[in-house]
Amino acid sequence: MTAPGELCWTGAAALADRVRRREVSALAVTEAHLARAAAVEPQVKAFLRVTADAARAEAQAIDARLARGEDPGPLCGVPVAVKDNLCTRGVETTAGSRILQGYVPPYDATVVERLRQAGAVTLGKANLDEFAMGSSTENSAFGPTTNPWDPSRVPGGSSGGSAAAVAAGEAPLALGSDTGGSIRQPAALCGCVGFKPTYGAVSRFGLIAFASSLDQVGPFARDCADAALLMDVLWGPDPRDMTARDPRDARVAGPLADLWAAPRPFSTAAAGASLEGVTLGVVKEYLELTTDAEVKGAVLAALDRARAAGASVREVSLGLTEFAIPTYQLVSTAEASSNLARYDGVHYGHRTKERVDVVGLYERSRAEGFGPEVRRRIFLGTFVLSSGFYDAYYLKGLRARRRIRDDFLRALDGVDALVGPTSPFPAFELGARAHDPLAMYAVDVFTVSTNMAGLPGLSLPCGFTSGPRPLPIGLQLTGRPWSDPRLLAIGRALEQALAGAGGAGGARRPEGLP
Amino acid sequence: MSARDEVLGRYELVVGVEVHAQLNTATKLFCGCRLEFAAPPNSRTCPVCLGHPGVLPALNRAAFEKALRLAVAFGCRLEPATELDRKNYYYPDLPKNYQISQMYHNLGEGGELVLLRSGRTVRMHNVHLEEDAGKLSHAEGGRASTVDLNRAGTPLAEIVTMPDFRSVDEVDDYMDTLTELLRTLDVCRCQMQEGNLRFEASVSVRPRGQEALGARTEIKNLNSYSAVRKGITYEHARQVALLEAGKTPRQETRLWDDEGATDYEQGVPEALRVPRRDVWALLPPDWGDTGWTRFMRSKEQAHDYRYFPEPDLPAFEVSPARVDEIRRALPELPGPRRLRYAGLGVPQKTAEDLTRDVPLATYFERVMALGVPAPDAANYVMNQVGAALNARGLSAADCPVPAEHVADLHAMIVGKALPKDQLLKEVWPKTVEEGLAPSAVAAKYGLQALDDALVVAATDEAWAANPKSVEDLLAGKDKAKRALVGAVMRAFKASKAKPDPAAINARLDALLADERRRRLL
Ligand SMILES: [Zn+2]
Repeated sequence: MTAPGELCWTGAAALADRVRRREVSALAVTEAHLARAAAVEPQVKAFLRVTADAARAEAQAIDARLARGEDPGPLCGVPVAVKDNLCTRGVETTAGSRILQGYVPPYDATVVERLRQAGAVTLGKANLDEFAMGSSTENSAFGPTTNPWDPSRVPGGSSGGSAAAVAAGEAPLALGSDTGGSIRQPAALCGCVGFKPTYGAVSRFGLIAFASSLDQVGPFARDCADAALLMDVLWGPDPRDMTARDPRDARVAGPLADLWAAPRPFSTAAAGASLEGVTLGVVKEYLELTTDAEVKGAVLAALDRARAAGASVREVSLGLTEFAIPTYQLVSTAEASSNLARYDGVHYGHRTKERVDVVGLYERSRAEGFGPEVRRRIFLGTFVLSSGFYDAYYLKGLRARRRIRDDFLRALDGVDALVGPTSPFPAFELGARAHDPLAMYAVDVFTVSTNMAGLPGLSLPCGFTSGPRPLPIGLQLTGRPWSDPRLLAIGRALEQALAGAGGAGGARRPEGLP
Repeated sequence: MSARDEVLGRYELVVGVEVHAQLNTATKLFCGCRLEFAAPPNSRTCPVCLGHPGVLPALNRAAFEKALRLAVAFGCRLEPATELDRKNYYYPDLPKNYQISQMYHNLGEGGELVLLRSGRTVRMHNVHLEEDAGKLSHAEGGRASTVDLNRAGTPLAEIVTMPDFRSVDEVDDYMDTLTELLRTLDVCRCQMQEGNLRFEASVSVRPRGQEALGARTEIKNLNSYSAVRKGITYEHARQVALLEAGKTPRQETRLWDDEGATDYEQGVPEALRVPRRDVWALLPPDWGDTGWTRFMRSKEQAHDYRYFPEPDLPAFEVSPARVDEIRRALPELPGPRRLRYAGLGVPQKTAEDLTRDVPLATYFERVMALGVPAPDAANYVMNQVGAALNARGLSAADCPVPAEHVADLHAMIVGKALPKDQLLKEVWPKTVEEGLAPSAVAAKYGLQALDDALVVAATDEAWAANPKSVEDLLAGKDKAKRALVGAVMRAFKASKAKPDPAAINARLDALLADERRRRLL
């Protein structure tokens, strides 16, 4: 018999096994996580909404199915936190914005549907930067989430709530979304694993759009094996999302289609993980731009471990790194300005109380409903698309984007994955960058290109800073398009090689939490 | 030549036409909601067409195929892949506040259409696919407006011509030609009163001989064929009146208003308006007091739609093989079909009527395929079949009488199985009512033709028994002939087989001729 608290530090795969074998009930697992959330939420504030009653009912339904001899699925009884920009039927979904306060979706996002079909229990809705625009979760209209390792610091963003919930033991798994680093960067800052799939690997239906051509849904977990378990549930084409593709088709994934043919391609690949014969390309520019010595040191030390475990490491160059952030700003804000046009106070969401005509209704509702960062990006994106500027900005942005993709594909030639720090620095103090948009945008320098190139990206813990309150450091792996199962397997092998160094987040728990 | 004609004659009218045709698919363009006219407000909606957070469009392939068929029929240039774009503007009937349309990669570019009446060729600018918006209503005197989103997301083909029209009649010819084409291709129901076919005209005038086009006016709200004609007629007069007053029309958007007309146009500067009487002087004499175009917005006030490629949808492949397949499967288009019917001996007017009604033409083809000569087949289809359909309010697609029955009728007429008159007046109605072939109807009711010898004998008998009628007939009183025919018919009252009045008439004519000859001798 495990103490209820220990259930909160048990991995998803182990929890699912134990529930399936009926060593512990799904309800007990859910209760343990609800109790953990009740204890730490006053400090961490990872959730906007904990849906305790619904979670208990879901857990009981799983237990009932087990009692009838059914197999509820690979995530049997595993609690999952869901980022609040993913629609959940009957449960308020705000995207961290006042403009959607009180909005209750009439449908489930495809990924949420897939969670339910896999036997998972949804615990609640995790905090985020408003409409996923930000890198610290400070842009949430409902207040920031704090970093479980140090409450004076940010958890990263925009999926800060999802990362913090996993890092603080409130949920073994979480869903996030990544448009420019929104899964990988908070994973790095909170000391957990975060994976951004190849664009099109996971359905976006029900993900409240920020930048449609960059957004992807992906998992948070405390190790790569659990992330693989969740990916096996999430990936796959969806008739409701025409940008979601089927990588088993060679016309989509080319020779990598074989990787996806196994029944559970991610878990299968992760189970046989090894660094033997793997070539890693360490990105010269990323190391140069990393001024934090401890971050740089942790990444270099991880590379030594990788070599010791059989990997070969070579240096590669991404010459267009300096153009990553400006290009990302052009493309993402343009799409956002259009995607966010629907929040106008007419059909749902916040509507101004003032008596105004229809244009006034739009203006007042939007001015009252959107926070400053969202407004800033809508202005910028509207300008980028304006007639007379379209060619100079948006089209140029698209051209730059193709060049960046080419740059990555060249760097990946003969290399299994690119390696570098996920973030140039560890978690920063709340408020430190909140009033300087450019300083905040710079946080994403190593992550945005992955989205623009549509590649898979993984962040996993590789060490800690020194000092009285050690902070996690994240290492990023970037793979070829549709190499996702292999990339997570490389991550799995690397995390096993690093475990001996005591650097991985799962092995070490945040101190100072209740 | 009237003063009006003289003034108008100094200028050339130049018109281009834009059509929004709702594609007649079962469901909407990007979701599974069914398309039904006049369903209860907002009853045909879902999160996708309501523009809820997080939803994505999934293209209706049937709509894409229909628009593609149209582009192929026009002979448009087709790109190997077509993409959709977003057109951004705010309006309460547009739930996403952007419309998924096409701007940078139209489904089809160029192409042409031969007008049915004049035979002239109109060049097309492009054909593209887009979604319709909902319907906003402003309650009379009320403070609130209501929006019905049943129409939101309906697939539309937008069909844009080059400015190739030089008269209202040519536009009229185009409207008829296009309507027939859309029906023939089975892509649009073409019910203007239901709003599933909507016209916009861009109108300019230029002094005769001048090459440069004048500034054009886009006229919206042309919600009937007559509104299109009147809107262009009015705009023609208004722009000529401006030019005659030494003023220059500017590029702007105007609304057709059937009931409106005031002396002054609100919000229009003096340099751009002329007194009402100057415009009316150039309108046709029967114009009436109302009906004009109202200023809506100038070019400067036009929206910046901030078009950009729709990132939620991939590019859609249009392979040359698929285009070939569509081209080969195209139904015969109205122009060639009319010519073919006329060539088969179908009267011109009937050929036109048949091509206008696609299901009826299909029915006609089936009757011909059963060996009935085209002029006869056309005659039965327009008359006997047409009457049966009209009486039941049915389209030929739902015709209760199989084409085989028409062929049977024809065979009986040609084979003189029964008198033609009896076949058409007695047998045919029973064929329609009872669903039996004409020959089966004849068998069921024991109808059979009389031996000619019997008819001749009975006629001779009547001739002998009615000397008064014979005298009248000889005196040129044609009425007497009817009396004689009646007498013959009466002789067969008890018989199931009826004599053919034509046969009686023929015998009477022979007797009459004999009698005349006899008296002359
Ligand atoms: Zn719908």
